[in-house]
Amino acid sequence: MTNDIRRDIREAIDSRLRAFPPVPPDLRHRVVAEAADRLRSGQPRRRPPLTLATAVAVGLAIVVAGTLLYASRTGHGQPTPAVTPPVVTSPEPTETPTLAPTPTPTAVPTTAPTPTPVAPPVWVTYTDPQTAYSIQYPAGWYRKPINLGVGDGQEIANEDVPGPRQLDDAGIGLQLIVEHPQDTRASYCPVLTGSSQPGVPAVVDGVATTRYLAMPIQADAYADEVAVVHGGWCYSFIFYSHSKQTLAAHDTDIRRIIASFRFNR
Amino acid sequence: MSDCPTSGPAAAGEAAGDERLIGAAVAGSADAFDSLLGPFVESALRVALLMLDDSAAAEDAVQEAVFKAWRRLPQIRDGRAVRPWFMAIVANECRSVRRHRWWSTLRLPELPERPVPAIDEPSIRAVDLARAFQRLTPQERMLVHLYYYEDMPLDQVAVAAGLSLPAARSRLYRALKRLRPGLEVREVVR
Repeated sequence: MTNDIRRDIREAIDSRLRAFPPVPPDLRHRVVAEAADRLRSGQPRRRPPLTLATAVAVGLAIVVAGTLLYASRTGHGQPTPAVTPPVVTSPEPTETPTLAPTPTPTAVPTTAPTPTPVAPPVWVTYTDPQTAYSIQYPAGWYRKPINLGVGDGQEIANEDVPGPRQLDDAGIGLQLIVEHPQDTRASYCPVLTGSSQPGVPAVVDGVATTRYLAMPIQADAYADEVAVVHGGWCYSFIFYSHSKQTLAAHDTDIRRIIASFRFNR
Repeated sequence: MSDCPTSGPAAAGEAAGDERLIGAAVAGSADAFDSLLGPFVESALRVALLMLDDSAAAEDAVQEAVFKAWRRLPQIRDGRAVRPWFMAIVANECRSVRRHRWWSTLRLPELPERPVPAIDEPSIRAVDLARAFQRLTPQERMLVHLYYYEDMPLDQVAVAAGLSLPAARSRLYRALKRLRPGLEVREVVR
């Protein structure tokens, strides 16, 4: 009996492992050598260098932001239906430009943003057609759906890059995941699993939760993370960057994005 | 299979050898570190593959776990078995990667289409078991894999999973019941 189940399980695992590429023959040597290099140098892992496409995207983002700022200062930048957000990939979700949202009062004791006398940028409202939630983000940022296999996901970043690894040090992104606990596992929702890092109080559409600041993900990646359970669904907000400083510099944006979120059900 | 195979003269000698290697590795010897943890790298990758379901993310997790293991070597307690200690670091790294899905998920477009795994044994029973295994949680897959595939004793599996021995036994039991609802698991998890 015991041998039967052991053999069957081993076969099941073997069949699963065959779905992956074979173990690289130099894996052992490579990981040990890289660890030795990192220990000696004290350097974090390397990430892909800034690509030309990324540089162009950053340049465009700066131009768009500058244009919007100039227009808003001169009074010609009031949002009208003619103002098209930079990226609207799907006609199905409702996505409208709007003035910067007025954050609802929250108890987020983060460092006070530097008060700069500039007009608020144009923001875009995204309304999810399936889950009904809505969220606002700066008009110069790029949104795209992401398929995690479970739940529903949106990625919103200030650089138009394939993924987080391609962000440069000024890049910041948000991954918003909405999952039903029955569709997923408890470990997916940080609010259910807790965190080893100290957090600060936060509020998402009236629901109290915790915001975890600058959580180290890898040697060169950090995240501000907020998760909240509402109506049995887990909503995770993961703001990520290669740089702690970038996360801190975007603190006002992050708080506004969180404050703009509405469950709508 | 004994629950406590780390006890006894052979294990004591092994622990003493490990301590010498640990000392050398802490001093910076890559050869000593390789002798200490190298034999477990491949099985660590298997654990990571089954927990993360993504070969690139799994290699990254193992790489990071190896690095962290080397840095934490001075913290390893006397007589503590290295393998479950290292597997615990690997499992924690995988959990961290899973929790921060953006890091691994965004890599998916860069990966080629994964072929449908071939099941050698044509019986429906084997296919059902493979599918049932995939429906387990990452931690359950790790428990089942370490115990049944890597032949780790249950007490070491518990250490690797960060669980008490009774909790590890209980979760392994539940995982097996999900794999085979009609199974008499008492005969299996001892």
